[in-house]
Amino acid sequence: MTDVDVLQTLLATENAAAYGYGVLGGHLASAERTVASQAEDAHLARRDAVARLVRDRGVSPTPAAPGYVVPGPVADRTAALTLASRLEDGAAAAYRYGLAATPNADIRRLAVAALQDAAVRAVRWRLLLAPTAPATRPFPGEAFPGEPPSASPTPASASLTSAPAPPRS
Amino acid sequence: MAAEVSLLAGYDAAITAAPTLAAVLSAIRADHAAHRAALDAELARRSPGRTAAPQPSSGTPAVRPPLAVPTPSPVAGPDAATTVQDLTATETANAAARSDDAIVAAAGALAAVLGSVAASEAVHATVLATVLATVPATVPATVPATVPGPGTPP
Repeated sequence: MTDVDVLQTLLATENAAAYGYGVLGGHLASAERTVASQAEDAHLARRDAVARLVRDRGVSPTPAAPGYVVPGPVADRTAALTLASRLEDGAAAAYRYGLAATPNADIRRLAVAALQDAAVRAVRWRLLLAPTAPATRPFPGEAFPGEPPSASPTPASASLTSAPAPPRS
Repeated sequence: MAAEVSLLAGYDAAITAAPTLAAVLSAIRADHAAHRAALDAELARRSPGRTAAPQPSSGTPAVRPPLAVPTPSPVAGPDAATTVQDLTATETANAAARSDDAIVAAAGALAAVLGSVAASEAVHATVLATVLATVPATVPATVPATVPGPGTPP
């Protein structure tokens, strides 16, 4: 696996996360929507940073898919908060993978910062979802016992793009 | 590793000093115990002569109490606020240090563990800052450097 492969994987994760926030925002309370919007912006900024690293290597960044399938229906606030925490867990997992997959300092620097940001956002969503449940994880980016594996939206075929609009550019 | 040992001692002291915050502090302490075990195992894997402590692996954290942000309590006073402030600062500093370690780690697996530890510590700092907001802010702005002894004229 080359550094470009690693970066393209991280890029795909950011595109999926940004898309996911577009799906869930409408089901949140007003203040939560603001936080979700900030999170989406953070993922878009990170996407751009990853894309720059791809271009620095003389390769074109893989564009976002036209649509994504989110892991499960999002019909209410609880589902939206659950998806938000899982999006961040998915991003954390991707960046932890990035740390392991390359010794390149530029990529690792980006990955370790992004892993922290995703972990912090994940715990904030979990505390909104269940204020009295265990919210921290000893190893963000690693599967946690008793929870489903973290998940990012997966690219959908063009016929499945009737879902909410793709992330803002 | 030394940082994790120091933090474990810090949380032990904090739990004693601020028993009303024991639930949240114990949950975070459990994370640090898992960090210590994982780092110990990772280092042992790379140094055959070293023996890992028999503790839970990174994938099987110890059972932890719920991490509930406490409601304001008159029992948690100035000492609690200072304690939480100190822990927040330590977690933030350690997160930065572990991030630097992850960037330069020779082995990918170690970089991943260090990155996760850094992220966990960043989360702890965030949670502690939330806790701090619930602790009565009765800490005096300045504390006298010396306390007059008995019989000392005012």
